[in-house]
Amino acid sequence: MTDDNKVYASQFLQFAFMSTVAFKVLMLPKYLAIATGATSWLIMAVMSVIELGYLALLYFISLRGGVYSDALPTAFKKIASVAIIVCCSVKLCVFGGEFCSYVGTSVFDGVNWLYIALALVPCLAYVATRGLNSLGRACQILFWVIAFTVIFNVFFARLEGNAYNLLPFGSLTDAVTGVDKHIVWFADFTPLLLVCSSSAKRQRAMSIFTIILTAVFPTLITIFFLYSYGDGAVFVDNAISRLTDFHLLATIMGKADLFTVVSWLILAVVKLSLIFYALVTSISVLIGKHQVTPFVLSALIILAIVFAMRDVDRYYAFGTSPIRYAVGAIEYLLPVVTGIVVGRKHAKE
Amino acid sequence: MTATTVAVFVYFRLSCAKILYMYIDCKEWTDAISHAFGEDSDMITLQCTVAGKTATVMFLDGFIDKETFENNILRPVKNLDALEYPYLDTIRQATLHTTPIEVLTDSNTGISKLASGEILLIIDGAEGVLMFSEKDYKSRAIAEPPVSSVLRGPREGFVEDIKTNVTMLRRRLATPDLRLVNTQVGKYSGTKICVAYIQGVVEPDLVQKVLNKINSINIDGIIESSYVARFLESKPTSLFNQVGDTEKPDILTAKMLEGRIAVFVDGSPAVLTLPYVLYESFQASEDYYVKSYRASLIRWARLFAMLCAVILPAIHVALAQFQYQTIPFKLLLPIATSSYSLPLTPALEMLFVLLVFEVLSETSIRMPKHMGMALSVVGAIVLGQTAVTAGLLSTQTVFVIAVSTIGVYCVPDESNSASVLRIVFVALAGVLGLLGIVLATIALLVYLSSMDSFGTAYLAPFAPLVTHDLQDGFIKAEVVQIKTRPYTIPTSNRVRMKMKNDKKVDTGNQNQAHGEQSDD
Repeated sequence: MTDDNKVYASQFLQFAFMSTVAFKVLMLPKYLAIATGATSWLIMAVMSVIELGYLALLYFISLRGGVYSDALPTAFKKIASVAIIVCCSVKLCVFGGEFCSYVGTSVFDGVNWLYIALALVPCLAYVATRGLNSLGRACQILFWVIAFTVIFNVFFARLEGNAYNLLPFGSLTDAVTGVDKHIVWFADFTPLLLVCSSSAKRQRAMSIFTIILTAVFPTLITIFFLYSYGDGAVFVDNAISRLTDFHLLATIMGKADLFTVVSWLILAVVKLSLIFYALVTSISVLIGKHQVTPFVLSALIILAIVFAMRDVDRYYAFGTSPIRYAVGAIEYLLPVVTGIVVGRKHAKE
Repeated sequence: MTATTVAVFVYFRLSCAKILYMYIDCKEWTDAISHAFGEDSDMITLQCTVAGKTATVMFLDGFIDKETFENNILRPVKNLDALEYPYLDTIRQATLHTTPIEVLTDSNTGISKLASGEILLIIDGAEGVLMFSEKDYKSRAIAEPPVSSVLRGPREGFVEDIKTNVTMLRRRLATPDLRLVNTQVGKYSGTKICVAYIQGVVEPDLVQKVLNKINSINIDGIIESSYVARFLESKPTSLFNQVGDTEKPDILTAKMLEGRIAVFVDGSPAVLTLPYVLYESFQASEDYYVKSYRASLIRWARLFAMLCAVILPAIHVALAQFQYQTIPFKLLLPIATSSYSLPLTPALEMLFVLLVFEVLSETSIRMPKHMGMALSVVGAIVLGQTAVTAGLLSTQTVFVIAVSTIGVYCVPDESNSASVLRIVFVALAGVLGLLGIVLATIALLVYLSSMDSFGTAYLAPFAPLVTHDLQDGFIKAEVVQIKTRPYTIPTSNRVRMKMKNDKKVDTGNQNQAHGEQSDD
């Protein structure tokens, strides 16, 4: 394993934040609203807390070299790589489709997904080849854009809604069904298994702040979404973008979502880059490192997004198909298994 | 001991004395050097006698202080009555000189020294060829560099002569810890290079790495310091500099005190500094001579200017061509009105104007000064006003490009990269709109993040974030508050300043300098 996956603790947390937030604040609030109604914000909160626990486990693993550490058995690494390949392939197709859908409708006015994929995927491949330490450093700068956007939107926010839109809670069965159906959109930390990070001794305040933000941000967005749109949430795509309709500046200027759009694009590209990196690295673990791997993978991803996913209904159908159980199992079990293997290895030493 | 024995002993000693020294054949040396320089050269050869022995003086015309050489060296030497071995001691006592006399025994070295402007005195039968250094050639006067003007602060700038430049540095670093390592590079140019650093401040490994890289240069000639810079960079084909440069001794001194190494190149006023981080382009010497509030404001202005320079034209193209729904309605109306009947798309229009401005800026550097007025008229009135009136360009485009061009030269160290980047961003925005700008920005940031300069992360102290170094960041602290050297630059002594009643200064983690896995 090369050294390109070594990051600082603060960069690890930024990956976690950007991974978690990107695709939980776009279409997922609508999907959960359709499946579970007003309970969706509670589901988001509970899942965020669970993911926070997984974040701690992943940090433990990253401190010990990650899932592809030289200290771990080769057989385990190969099995893990197969699991990661399956999981990341599905996620890349689903989230790639969601990205193209958003860009094709909100950023552009009806653009063929082929052009969007042709622009997006080479960028992902380039970022992946540079390694996680370069991406981590870039995220430390990009984070300021996102922070500015959040502050800007909060400063000019105009809360128009009804708190009763957040109630009543549905049945537990509905909640479980909602989570079950959309499991692909949760548990975003698989690529972080590959990260190797250092322990954080300073910037404790910043780390705590990032952790809280990671846990709270998707839930807050869902709350504001339901608060503002109520029962109409089932018809509203792109939650993060639509929330800017309730902007003070929107009444003056017509639209004030430029910063939000740019910020979400940054989050999405970082998230997809992490998945692409995990995919390329896992393939390298299986078949060895080859220069052509990113190129071949890029071509396959473009073909998958453009021809297999093709539209909103297709990628949603794929994401909610039975393959989601495999993804869910890998997402939630692989970190636990890896943690046990890593822990036992280090206990022996 | 008999008289015969004594006589034999004395004779033997005298013979040995002759054997211990290599005899110089004056004619042989003179022929060898003349052959090396050829018939068509500016070398001057003077034949004379020294204490009855045939001698030749050789030097290059225009290189030496003839008066000093004649009065202090040549005349006393020619007035010698006798010469005894070793000739050097006799001549050293007879002459006045401020630089040591060297004795050369190898003709190739002699040729090389002669080509560098030294004087050779070849005395027949001497133990070696004597080399004197009495250089006095004309060089440019010290003046303020054109791209480093200040309202407050020193106005001296480096010149093309390496000795003058090193002397200017010496005046500011009056310490025996200033080390100067001299070397020569270039088969035909024989360019002198001097690597300067402060012992006890700079990281020793760094010095060795730099020296190794310079000594490994094998080229026919070094014309300017940028040649050496390309050899020192890890990615010489990159758009971005990985080696800094400055033409001002005060800036150089400040950088060396932070732990950097300076590389002087003879023939170039630009002195190289390394390691180099991108943020150095946003720092100016004046920031340290004015109050920190003003310095902070100006640094934010430079950042804003650079962002405008690179991204503003692309954003204009993206919004005007694709994402016009994000433009406020009141602004959208005049944009739509002015661009309605234009023959070109916003992207092509912007690229055309960018190209014209590049031609204009290049012409303004190259043209004769007395043509300046005419070109200003052409540029401002013809291109600007007339093109808009004729419906070839929109007013917004000309305005955006003007703001962008001003921004490019607000950070002169990055003007080259900014002018190229803005063209790339405009082209991408013309094809992919806002998506293209975002993707290009991320790719560019990742590219810059992957670069380093002698182990120091290129985007430090922002990526990786080194909070200690932010005291000299976009919110600048006062000089009295900056007590330690930046963690970004490797150094063997972190403490810069101690004041009375100071508690022990926290030097932090020494390894944090290069953004390695130490902590922040």
